[in-house]
Amino acid sequence: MKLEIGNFRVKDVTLGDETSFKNRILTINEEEAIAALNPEGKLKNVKLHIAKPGESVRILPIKEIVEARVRPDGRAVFPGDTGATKAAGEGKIYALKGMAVIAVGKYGGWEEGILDMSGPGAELTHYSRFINVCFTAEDADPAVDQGQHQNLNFRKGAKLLGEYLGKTVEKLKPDDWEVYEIDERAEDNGLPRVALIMQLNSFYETLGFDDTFYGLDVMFMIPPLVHPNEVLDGALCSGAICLSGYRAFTFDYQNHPLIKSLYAEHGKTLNFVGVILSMIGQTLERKERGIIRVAQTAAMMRCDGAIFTEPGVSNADIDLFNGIIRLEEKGIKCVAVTDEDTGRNGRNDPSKVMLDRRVDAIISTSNAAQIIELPVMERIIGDLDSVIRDAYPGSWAQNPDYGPSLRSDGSIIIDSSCYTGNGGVVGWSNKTCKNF
Amino acid sequence: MVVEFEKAGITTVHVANMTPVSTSLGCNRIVKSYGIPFPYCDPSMPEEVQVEQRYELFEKVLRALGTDVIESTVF
Amino acid sequence: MKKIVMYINQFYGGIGGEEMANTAPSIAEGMVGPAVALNSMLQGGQITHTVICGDDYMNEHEEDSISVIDGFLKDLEFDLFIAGPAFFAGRYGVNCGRICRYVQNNFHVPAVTCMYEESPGVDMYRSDIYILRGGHSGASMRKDLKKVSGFANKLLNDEPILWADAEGYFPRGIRSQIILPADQTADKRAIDMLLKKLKGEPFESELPIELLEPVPVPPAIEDISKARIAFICTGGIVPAKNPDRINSAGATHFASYDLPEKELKAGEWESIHGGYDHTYANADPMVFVPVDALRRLEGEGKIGYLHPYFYSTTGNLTNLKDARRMANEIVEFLGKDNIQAAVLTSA
Repeated sequence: MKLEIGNFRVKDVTLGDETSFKNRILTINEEEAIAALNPEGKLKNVKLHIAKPGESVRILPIKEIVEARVRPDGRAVFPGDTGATKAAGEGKIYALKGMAVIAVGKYGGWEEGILDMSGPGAELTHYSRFINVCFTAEDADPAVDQGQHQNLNFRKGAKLLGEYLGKTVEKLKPDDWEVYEIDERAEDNGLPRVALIMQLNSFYETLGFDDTFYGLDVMFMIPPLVHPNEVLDGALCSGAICLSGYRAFTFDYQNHPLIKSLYAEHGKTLNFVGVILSMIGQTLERKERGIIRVAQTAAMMRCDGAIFTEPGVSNADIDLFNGIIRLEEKGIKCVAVTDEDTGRNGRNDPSKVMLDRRVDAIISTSNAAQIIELPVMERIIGDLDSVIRDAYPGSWAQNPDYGPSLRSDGSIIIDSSCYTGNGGVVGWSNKTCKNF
Repeated sequence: MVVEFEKAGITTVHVANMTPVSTSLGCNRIVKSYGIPFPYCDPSMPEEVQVEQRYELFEKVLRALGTDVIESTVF
Repeated sequence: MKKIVMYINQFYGGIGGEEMANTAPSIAEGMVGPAVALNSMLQGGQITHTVICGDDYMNEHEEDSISVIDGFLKDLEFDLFIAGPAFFAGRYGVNCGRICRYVQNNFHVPAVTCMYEESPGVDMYRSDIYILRGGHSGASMRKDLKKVSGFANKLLNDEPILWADAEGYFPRGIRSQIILPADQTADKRAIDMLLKKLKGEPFESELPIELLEPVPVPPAIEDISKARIAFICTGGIVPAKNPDRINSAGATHFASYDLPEKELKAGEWESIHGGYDHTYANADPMVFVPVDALRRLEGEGKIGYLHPYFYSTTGNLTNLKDARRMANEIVEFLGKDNIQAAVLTSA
């Protein structure tokens, strides 16, 4: 199964009369774009904003991030979600590179995040490198807007806007191509067989929050074997899961660095045999069911090794550690990629709720509770008051050690659990944790 | 060394002066000594007093051996 | 020019050795002992005063010593406090840690010390202050001072302090995220680590799992009057002239001696332990090995059975491996005699 991603390197983005892509400049007609992202009027007060790398801009509360793309064959970019359910992972898809589409609300909460385009915050995340086309809005139903945030209309809006913008390059020629192909019938040639096991955002017990796979909520899903191209080609979308400081957004799935890097090694140092989607079971029974299937699937794939990502803390640690223990028992050597919770004061020990000698190879991407002090930004996309008014996981109204999260001069002090992209667990992170 | 004795299941008392050090080393039964150069008695005291001090300190050691502890305890 | 106060013990302060360990704290203007060499290595700071205190004095009069030193420092202006280096010296290391913590908390300046990893001061104070990894003995003085000055210079010049292994201090129990070079992304690090693991090559987990196996506490002896007890002493009490050549420091072996029926006589025994003043032990070896008390208690029926030998070695600067080995060798002897309880007496 061959997937070809045609890249269009976006140099600049601007608002204008006609939505088009010319000379690497994306022009957006704001009214049309808003209509495209909000066809049923479920959002109100929708406005577009463009944030460029290096600008003094703070974006919050962030609800979803998507890469703008189009399938020249007419299939929906997100099959089963923005269009009919069709197979993903094959054929051609075009992508606008160097930019992202971000859905921003008014009310923050456990599910939302904060992003700075410059200053110390920019170093912590890959999202500050892109030209971010943001839309701010409120949900037309205030109960939905201020209640628990499934963010369904925001998430859909981001995908629709991404497809609308992607259409500008439908008939154009990409600047360069990425080609992803695994020949399942090829010989191993003595190279180790390696699978990627991805723990999804699958935390809730109510529909509408967890990741979606071909449009279906993954709540209670039993781990499937998946082709990496399906992940790259829009079959997997993020939910409204809590703690955006380390969760994977739809953009992260579309551009999954570990999948791309494993592909780069395929046929050279390893055989990339596939992806297994893993869950976070909310009961021990569900955890066990998930682990049984992950280990069994990896064994059936005759895996020699696996890379197991866990963008989470606490509860989710148990699925990671027990999963790896089960895989190691089957003779499959594992490396975990995850974040740590070393606590706001750095003294939370152990930094994963479960430790075991059999999980002996861990890549640590970040501290999920790192105190971050960010300077005042000249422009706010969204609502700065949300920092102190709303219940972000990493912000507070009062704190004896740190003072209020929002200071009178507009600077903020938060912890990384709500700083968008700090985790980088899908592979972006050039961070680790050290003992001080 | 105390830890090795305890690992072997031998009930052990550490007679020492720097008791916090003994605790941090993992000793569970500790009796504080009179001084680093003179654990069992105070040499500034008359001989008869010293004799009794040695006797009483070792009685304390015996008490410690006979007491159940769950964590480092100074007697 | 920033100002520094240094703390050293009576030996490095030129006052005297073990026999002067009971010296009360004093403060000298300028540099004394290793402060001189250290000062020449500093950039942007000057040692203005040296505090000197006897190792025994502070150990036995902790509150008092700290209060006196607090008085010395109260009217001084200083930006940094340095203690030691203490190498493997037990009391000195603990005292350096204790005074550093006090000064840091009460004078709000950074405090730095340096000692060997097995020094008891490390575990006691590593969470509170910067303790640099130091050498085993005074032979490392130059090297340790270089380490101290390098680190002190960073503090004096407001340079960022990196993580423990990068700077050479004992981890303080604080774990934090750091930013690596841009090309060291998690995906590449993960694949790299997996390939090493698959090939059986060594790799280092970024989050090491260190689980200490808890040692179950041995049960209380139910009936002491029936207990079989052995006596071990690390105070260095040996027959006169030390026939078994027990080392005064860094012992690698022990000796077993008959436990006498009545007493240990002065003149027949001596102390060879390098870490304390022998005057008292030589005058009466029973300050360390209370044979008279042991036999009296045995005679009264309060001890069931005394192991016929006592084990003797020195405990100062013993390295962990040797200490463990000696202990296990003794355990074997005790096992053969069905010994249930052991009393270990240290200096």
